[in-house]
Amino acid sequence: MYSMSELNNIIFLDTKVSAGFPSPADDFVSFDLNLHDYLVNNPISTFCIRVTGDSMINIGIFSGDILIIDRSINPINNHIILAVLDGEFLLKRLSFQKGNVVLKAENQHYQPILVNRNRDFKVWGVVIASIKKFL
Amino acid sequence: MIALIDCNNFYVSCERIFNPDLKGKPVIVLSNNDGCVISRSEEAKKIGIQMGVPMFKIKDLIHINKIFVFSSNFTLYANMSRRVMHILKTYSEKIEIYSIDEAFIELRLHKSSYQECRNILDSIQKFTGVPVSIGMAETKTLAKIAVLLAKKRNDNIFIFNEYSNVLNLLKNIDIFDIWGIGQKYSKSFYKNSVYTAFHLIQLNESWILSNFNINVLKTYMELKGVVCYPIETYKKSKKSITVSRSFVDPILSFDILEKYINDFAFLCSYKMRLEKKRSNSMSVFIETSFYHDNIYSGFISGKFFNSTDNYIEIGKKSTLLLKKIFRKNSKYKKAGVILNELDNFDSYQIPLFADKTQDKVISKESLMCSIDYIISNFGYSRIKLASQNLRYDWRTNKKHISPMYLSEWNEILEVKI
Repeated sequence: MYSMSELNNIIFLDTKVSAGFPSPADDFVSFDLNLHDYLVNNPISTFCIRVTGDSMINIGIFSGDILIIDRSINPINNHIILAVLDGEFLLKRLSFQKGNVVLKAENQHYQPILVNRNRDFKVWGVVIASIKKFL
Repeated sequence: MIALIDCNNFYVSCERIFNPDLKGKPVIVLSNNDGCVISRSEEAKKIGIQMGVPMFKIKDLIHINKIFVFSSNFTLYANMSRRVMHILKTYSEKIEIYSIDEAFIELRLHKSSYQECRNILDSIQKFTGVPVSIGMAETKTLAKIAVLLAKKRNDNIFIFNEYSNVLNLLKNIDIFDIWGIGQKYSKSFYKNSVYTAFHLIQLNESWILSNFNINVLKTYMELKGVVCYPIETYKKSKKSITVSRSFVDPILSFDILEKYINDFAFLCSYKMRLEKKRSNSMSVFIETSFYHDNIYSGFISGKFFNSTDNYIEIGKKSTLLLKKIFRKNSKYKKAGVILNELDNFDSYQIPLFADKTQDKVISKESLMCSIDYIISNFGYSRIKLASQNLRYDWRTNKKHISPMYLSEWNEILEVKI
C-alpha cells in the first residue's frame, strides 16, 4: 500500500528509450526554484510572524507583512531583531551605544529605547527577510 | 554513556515561547477536552496543582491565583518536539526518541562532558526556545534519576561520573520515582520497607526474582550500572493502535455511541494502514464518568476471522463488539477502540478459505487504497462509512487553545510594532 502523494516528488523524464538520439537536455534536469530554500537558512530555528503597526516603515516593513525570523543567528549591531522587553515583543533595529543596548525604530515618530540593565531584555530572534504579497 | 534530554514542563514551555509575558507566572495545559492538567509551570506546581487533577476540582485555585490556562495544542507541541529532536541528532548518531519531550542519546564520557551537555542545552534553548534538562549516566534507569537531580539544579545538568557519590544520591530517590517501578510496584516495596533506590540496590537478586519479576530485576541491575535496556535507534514496531476520546456531553443513546465507535474504528484503521499492518483482533471500551454515580465501564475483545486492514470489516466488528458491552441508562463519557495483534502487511498471505476469489480481495484493496488517498489528501471528514457520524466532526472542548503558530498562515504569531 502506498499513497499516491508519494509520486509527487518523482521527476519523469519524458524521453522514449527505444531509438534515436536522446534529448541533450536530459542530463540537465533540475528542480524549480524553491522559495523555502531561498528564504530559510535553518528550518529548525526559523519562525514566521505577522506585524501590525508603522514603527519600521522606513525600511519597508509595513502592517500585514510577514517576517522570517531565525533564532540561530547571533544578533550584532544593526540587525533587525524581535526582542522581548519586560515580557513584551518589540521589533527594532539593534544598536549598541557606549556599551548600552539601544532599540531604534525606523520611523522618526518613535523614540529609541535605551535598555537599562535592570530591565528584562532578551533577543527572541533575528529578522532575515520580509514577505509582502500584493495579490 | 547514556544522556537523557528531557524538556522542562514541555507543553507549558511551548506556550511561553509565543507568550513571553507568561514568564514567572503560573501556567497549566489541559488534556484533550480540557479534562485534566497535563503540564504545569513551576509556579503552578508551587501553588499545589497536581499532575492529572481534573479541571473542575481546581476552578477556585485557578481563579484565586490567576493561573493561565491553555487547552492542549498538540499540533504546536509536535512541531516543537521535532525541532528539538532534530538538534539532538546533530550531537549523536544514536538517538532514541522516547516520548514527545524526552530522548536518550549516546555520548562518550570525557573530561569536557559537562561542557558538551551545556552546548546541547544551550543550542536547544537558543534555536527553539525550549528549556531542557540533561541527565547522564551508565544506564537509562540511572539517566532518568540523573535528570530528576538535574531539574533541581540551576544549571539543569547532572552527570553520574566516577566522582559522584551514587549511593548517597540514591538515598534521596523515592522508589516510586524509579523508572520501571512507579505505581505498579512501589506499594509492594513499601510493604517490605524498601523506600528508596538505595534500599533497592541493597537487596539480593533472588529475593527480587521470587517477590517480583525479571523486569524489576533489570531495573535493579541498571541501578547498579549494568545496561539491560540499550538505546533503541530503530522505530519500535507498534503492538497495538488505539483511538479514544472523551465526550464533551455524556452519551446515553446506543445509536450515537455506535457512530462514534465507528469513527474511532475508521481512524484507527487508517493509522494502522499507514504503518502497513494488519490486525488479528480488536477491542472496544466504553466508560462513564468516574466522578458521578452509576459508574460503569465495559471492555471487550474479539478476533477477526483472518487478519484484516479493511475499513469496512473493522467498522462492522466495532459495532458488533459495542452491542455486547453497551448498557442502557449509563451516561458514557469516554470510548475507544484498539486494534491488536498486528502483523506486517508483507507477511500476509491470502488465506485458503478467503471469501471466494482472489480477485475480490484485490478489488477490495483498491477501494481501501482510494480511501487512504482521500484521507491523506483531504482529511477525515471528506470520506466516511455510512455507519459513522455523517453530520459533524467530533466536537472537542478546547476553550483555551492557542493559535497554530507554526502550521497555519492565518494563525502565525502577530506582533504589534
